Amino acid sequence: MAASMDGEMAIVQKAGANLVSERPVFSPDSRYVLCCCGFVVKVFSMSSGECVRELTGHKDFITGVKINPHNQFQAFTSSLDKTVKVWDYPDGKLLKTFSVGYPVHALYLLKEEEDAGYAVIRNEDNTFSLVQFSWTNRKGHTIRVETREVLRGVSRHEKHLAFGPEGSFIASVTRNKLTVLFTKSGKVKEFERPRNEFQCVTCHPTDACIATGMQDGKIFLWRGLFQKKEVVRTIYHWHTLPVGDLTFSPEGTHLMSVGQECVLVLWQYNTEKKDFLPRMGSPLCYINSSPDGSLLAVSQVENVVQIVTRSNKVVQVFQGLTRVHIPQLIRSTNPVPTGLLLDPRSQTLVLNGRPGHLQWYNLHTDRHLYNLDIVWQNFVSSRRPWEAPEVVYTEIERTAFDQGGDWLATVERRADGMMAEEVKLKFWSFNKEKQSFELNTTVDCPHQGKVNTLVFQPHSDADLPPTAVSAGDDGKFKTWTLIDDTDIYRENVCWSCDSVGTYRDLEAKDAAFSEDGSLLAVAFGQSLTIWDPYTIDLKTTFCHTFCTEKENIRQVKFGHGNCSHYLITTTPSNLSVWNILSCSLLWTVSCECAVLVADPLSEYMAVFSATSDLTVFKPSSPEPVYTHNKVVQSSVVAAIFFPKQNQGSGEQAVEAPWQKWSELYFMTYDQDLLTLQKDAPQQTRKDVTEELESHLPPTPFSMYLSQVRSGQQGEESHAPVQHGTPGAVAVQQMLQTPAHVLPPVSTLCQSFLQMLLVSKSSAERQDDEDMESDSDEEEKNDQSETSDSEMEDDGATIDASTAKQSTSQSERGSSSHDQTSNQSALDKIHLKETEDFSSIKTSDLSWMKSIF
Amino acid sequence: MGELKLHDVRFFRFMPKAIHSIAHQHTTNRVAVSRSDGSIEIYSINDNWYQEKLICGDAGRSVEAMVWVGQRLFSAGLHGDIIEYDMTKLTPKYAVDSYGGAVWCMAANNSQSTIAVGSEDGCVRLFEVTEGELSYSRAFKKQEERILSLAWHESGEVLVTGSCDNIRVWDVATGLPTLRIKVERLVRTRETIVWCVAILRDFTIVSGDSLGKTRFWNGKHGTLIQSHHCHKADVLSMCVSKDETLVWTAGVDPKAIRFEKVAGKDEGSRASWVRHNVAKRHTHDVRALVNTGEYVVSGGVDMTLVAMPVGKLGKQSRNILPFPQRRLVHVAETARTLLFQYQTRLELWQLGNTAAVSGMPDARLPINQEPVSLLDLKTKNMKQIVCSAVSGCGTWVAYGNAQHVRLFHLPKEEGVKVKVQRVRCLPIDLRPAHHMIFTHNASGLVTATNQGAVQFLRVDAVHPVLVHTFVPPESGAPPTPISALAVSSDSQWIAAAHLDCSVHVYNVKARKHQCSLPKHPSLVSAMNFHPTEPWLMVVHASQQFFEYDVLESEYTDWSRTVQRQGLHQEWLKRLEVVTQVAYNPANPTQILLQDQRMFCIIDKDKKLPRPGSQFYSREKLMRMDPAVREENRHAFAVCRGYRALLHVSFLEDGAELVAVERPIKAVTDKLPPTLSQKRFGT
Repeated sequence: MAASMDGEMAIVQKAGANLVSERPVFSPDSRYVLCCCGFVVKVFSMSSGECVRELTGHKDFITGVKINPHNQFQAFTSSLDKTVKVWDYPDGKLLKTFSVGYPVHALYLLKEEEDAGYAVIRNEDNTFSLVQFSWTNRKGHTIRVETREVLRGVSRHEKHLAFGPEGSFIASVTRNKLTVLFTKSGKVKEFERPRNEFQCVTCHPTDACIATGMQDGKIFLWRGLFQKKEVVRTIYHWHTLPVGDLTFSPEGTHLMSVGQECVLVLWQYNTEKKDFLPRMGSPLCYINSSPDGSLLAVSQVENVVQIVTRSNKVVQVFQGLTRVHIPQLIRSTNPVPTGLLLDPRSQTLVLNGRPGHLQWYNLHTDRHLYNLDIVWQNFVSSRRPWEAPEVVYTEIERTAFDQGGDWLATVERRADGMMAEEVKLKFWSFNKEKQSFELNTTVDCPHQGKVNTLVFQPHSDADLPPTAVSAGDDGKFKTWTLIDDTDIYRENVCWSCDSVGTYRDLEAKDAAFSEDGSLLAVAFGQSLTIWDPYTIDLKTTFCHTFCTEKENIRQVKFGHGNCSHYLITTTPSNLSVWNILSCSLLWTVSCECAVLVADPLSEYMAVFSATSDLTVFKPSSPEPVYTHNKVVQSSVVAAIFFPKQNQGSGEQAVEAPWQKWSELYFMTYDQDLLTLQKDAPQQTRKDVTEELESHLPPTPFSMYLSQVRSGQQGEESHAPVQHGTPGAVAVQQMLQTPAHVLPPVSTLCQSFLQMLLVSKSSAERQDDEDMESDSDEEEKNDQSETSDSEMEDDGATIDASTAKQSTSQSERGSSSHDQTSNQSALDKIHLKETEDFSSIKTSDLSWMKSIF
Repeated sequence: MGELKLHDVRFFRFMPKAIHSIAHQHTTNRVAVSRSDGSIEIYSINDNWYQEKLICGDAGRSVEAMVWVGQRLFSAGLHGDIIEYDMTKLTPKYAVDSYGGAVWCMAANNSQSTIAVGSEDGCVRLFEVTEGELSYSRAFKKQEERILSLAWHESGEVLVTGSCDNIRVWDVATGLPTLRIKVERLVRTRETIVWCVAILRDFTIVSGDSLGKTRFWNGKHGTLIQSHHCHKADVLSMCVSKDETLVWTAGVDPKAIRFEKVAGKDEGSRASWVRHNVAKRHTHDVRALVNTGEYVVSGGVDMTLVAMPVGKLGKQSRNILPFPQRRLVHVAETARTLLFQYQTRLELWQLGNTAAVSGMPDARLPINQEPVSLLDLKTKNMKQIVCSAVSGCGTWVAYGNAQHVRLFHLPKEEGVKVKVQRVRCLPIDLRPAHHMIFTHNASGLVTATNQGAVQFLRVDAVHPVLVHTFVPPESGAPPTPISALAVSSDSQWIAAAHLDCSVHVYNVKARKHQCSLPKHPSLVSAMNFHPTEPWLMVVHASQQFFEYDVLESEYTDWSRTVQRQGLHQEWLKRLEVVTQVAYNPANPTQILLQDQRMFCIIDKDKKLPRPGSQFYSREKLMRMDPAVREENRHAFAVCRGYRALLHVSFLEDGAELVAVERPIKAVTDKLPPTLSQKRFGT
């Protein structure tokens, strides 16, 4: 125990980072999109939507990424760690590091200046200035660069500064002021709008024209900057809410603006025509145009980057962990009231998604799987600040899965303070055919007032009907069971209230089942009551006798594993552990607990205090296993022990014992999903999955060459659907795999035979195989060898590999069912079921997956 | 100050008319505004936008276009005549046939020698302007469509016209079109009308059309340079600044949009026209738009004339209410009747009355006697009334139109309705009048003739006698029209203010010119005599006022005190011109001044506001603590809050005031519906 205390673990963001903190950037050939994502830059492929590279190396948040205008294979990144790094992004290699000496908040590169760039740095006195830093082409990996201040008192956001055509002027906006610095003459012009606020600025690529977006939704076009007389200011007003971001198309014919209205507006330059792309889903915060102007990257505040063509078609979606808490839009105390949950079927993380949705997120592959619409209400963009009342959304407050993942229960609540509260308890069943959850039962107003907890009873035997318990502010806890609702028209089951329990009319705050489901603990006020869940008999009560202050119990948790006879409760100031066998208080410590989580796979538990101190302990002993003070600056709102992907494998011995089975993920108030790791951030996920093709600049020769090549490839890839036997591919792959890694033949047999069965639809889609990607596939399989065949019956691994299969498929461009994960908005949810191999969806490569 | 009862009269249903065209006179900086009834108003911009002349219209005359040639004003309209006006008599001088039917547009060339007229038959005709007349010169080649707009190039050699679907560029020398620009149609069957065109020095043609597009064309090649679709509906009017870097357009969609020529970022690059700011000052179609250099003046169906300053954005734009800045209401103080002057009729009303005694300031009193309409007098042939008057006893009513003066006797008979007798045998020498006023004892009618003289008529039901014609002393210059007229209460003095800023005082008994007031650079907008003393109160358009002793030929002591101390800045900053001044007959230390937004009672006994101090209006003072109120009280008791105040005067006892207001809402409610536009959030 003490041994694990030695190394302080680092807080890292492994998955679910914010993709939309900065403007996304297109590669010059528009085949990749580079997004700042915490400490790394993710390179997404346009064709597959996959993250194909991660540029890791910065030690702090990355604040900007730019393509080198003089070398299209290089990208510059700036970071708060006082450096600017140059990358070969197709290879993911770090080329150079420029040490700037100050935290860099924004980065700008000009085509006109080959060995200099501009950066917004934070000075010691917390002011921001724009500096020019230049480097010589001298050798060396780390270069200390000289900086020259250009403009003082700028804003730190990238969108608050823009460069004019050929760098002839610099436009910078701060709160109420637009400052234009003419680089040749060094003159400065200032324009103030005392009753308005500048939100963003951009410059026309060829004209001397500045566009600024304002707080009140107006867009100003400033022209005639070089003339002596008054500047010409044209107002374009469509937005009602503040303008989020602006950009000109590269040829300068259009101006694109986005805002909280969820609408992309295209303004034709110098005419009054405008075009819209409405219903983008959620408020938009950034927009960028591809260098050839054919594509637009639009960032949404809920952590989505959408790629839109100029004909207003969404062609690609890069979705990160949905950020529920949209700034300036939804104000609630807790961004994830449901907490972090584990979907037992798919072994993925489930939490609140966009308003009224639950999202499924695969932490291991860092992929957003889909959203499930729970409340079935449209998203309404917020009103203008002066238009009361603000929009109140129905929020999903409690969610629970049953043990097998067959049932999902949700509690949603809408309280706008004027009308009566609307509370609904919904039970959803998993439909194996549709691979999605379907609504089974809706209970209106399950409790008077708020529902505080919702748990399913873990069952050891399958004969008993599934049972759930909810408890609310009305002092009751109710058990809900599945009953037969079959009538002459259909066969059906539904959920109904089985029994109600109260205790002294106190408010029921939390409830928990013991690991085997034989005991139910419900916290009523200061008392903890233990019930028999089958008969609803009050077995015993516990109460703090030593507590002078009357503090209500907030959370109740049973221990797991060999600590399953312990019951842990938290009050605002105490954490107590009770022994149910002896019915006595085992130990108590004074600690202001905010979040308490238990590891379902081990006896460890973790508690986060209100001041974000983490303590990991075993219920059997008050000695902490691990402590970490002040894990984050903001508060921790939810946490989960998430099962490891490759647990138990011997090489992970360096991990702390409490991290052997599960990783502790926690979410902060700012919706950063963080975890603890032994050493500094490193690349943990899958390696290179796609060979990045470097594209030569489109010279006539290269175009000819590419035509010839693609023609050849086309012949190969469009070969007849079935030449040879149906299982030829499988045989080939089996033969190419080294013999020593092949599992026993008996394991292979079933899936191999399945390969030979050709259903109509699978035969149709067999054609998009090509040899090149086969070898890719093979490589990958070799790399993922670490997961051994013994893991086969483990749901988590299988699912992870299935997900991987889907990624590999989509990389090859077979867009058959990869869409499901991306186009979650369609609400057509297809969970990949792991066991069901007869599903047509499982295409011809799945046999390899099931092996590893 | 004492308590005053105020009659708040709102039953004067005067309806102003829509503005059809505006023309600017550059040398004297005057603006001529024509309205839908054919009347023309002339405003002096330099003199605080004072409406110095009003040319009455005629039922058969429409004014679609006006043009200034020097000081001469020409108008043309759908009746097909080109009319020049006599600027002294304020009547049409002569008319010339356009030879092409209705005239839609008219413009003078830069050298002001030729007027081009675009008419219904599709011909552009040129008229030479010669001394004293206008002579037909020649016609251009006929085109199919009517010509709706035309503009001269600065050189005078090129003319551009706009008509349905076409813009044509004409060579003036040959009269043939050199270029024809076809304007697109939105719907194949619906023609696009080019409502307004302009041609700049560099042969850029600017056009505004019924599609709502403002377009810039290359006038040499006929190619489109830029097109701005800023208006939701037809672009009706356009004006270009003198240096040709600014263009304003306005139309059915009542926005005035400013386009500015913006040079590129370096010398070589082409300048482009960009939309600048949008001003929405009107509620209805803007029919006319003129750039005067300092202002952009616009007017249209909503009747208000709006002057937007060009340069500084901070400068306030100015709305000139559509009511004539002259007396439309006359009060018979003794008889308590009101005479309302409409365009073509007169109405006589008996004022209402109340028996209640007010206790509170600003309290409303119940009426126990409703106002009664006594008389409704229509003019013959719908001739427009120039001026009117009612005697104090209410037994005499007079009015004048462009040709005649009419006098009516209303003898008082108990129990019967009002009987009207027209006095037929008026003296032949009685000239058409611009202003008229009865003497206090109703024995005489004083008229200001259209030749700048003053005539005194002894009023008699049978045989009125013209007593004398007072001619202003010879000064070499031709006489100018009279802008204000006043008679003293003892009928001894007559004062006449002329448009050349001179004020002459005549002695009625001696039948001679008594004196002339020292000339002030600003026009006299109102004046009146003291009830007992021979003092004349003169108010100028520049907000200055003087009290002049006509017997001693000097300013009174109080006037000197006022001038020495200087008027308060707040007073001088007011935009409206004082249209009426009167002494309180009961307490002559109180002087009433009235403009279209407020009236003010100046108490000579009270201290004047110091120039630097706060200038509290009456409303603000009433809200203050009584102790503080007395401290801040000054000679000017200002009653604000009126939107369109047409008349305020004392009744005979000096304890009652009559205020006649025409609520703007009542006027705008009668207007046709506006272009319906979607507003966000509705």
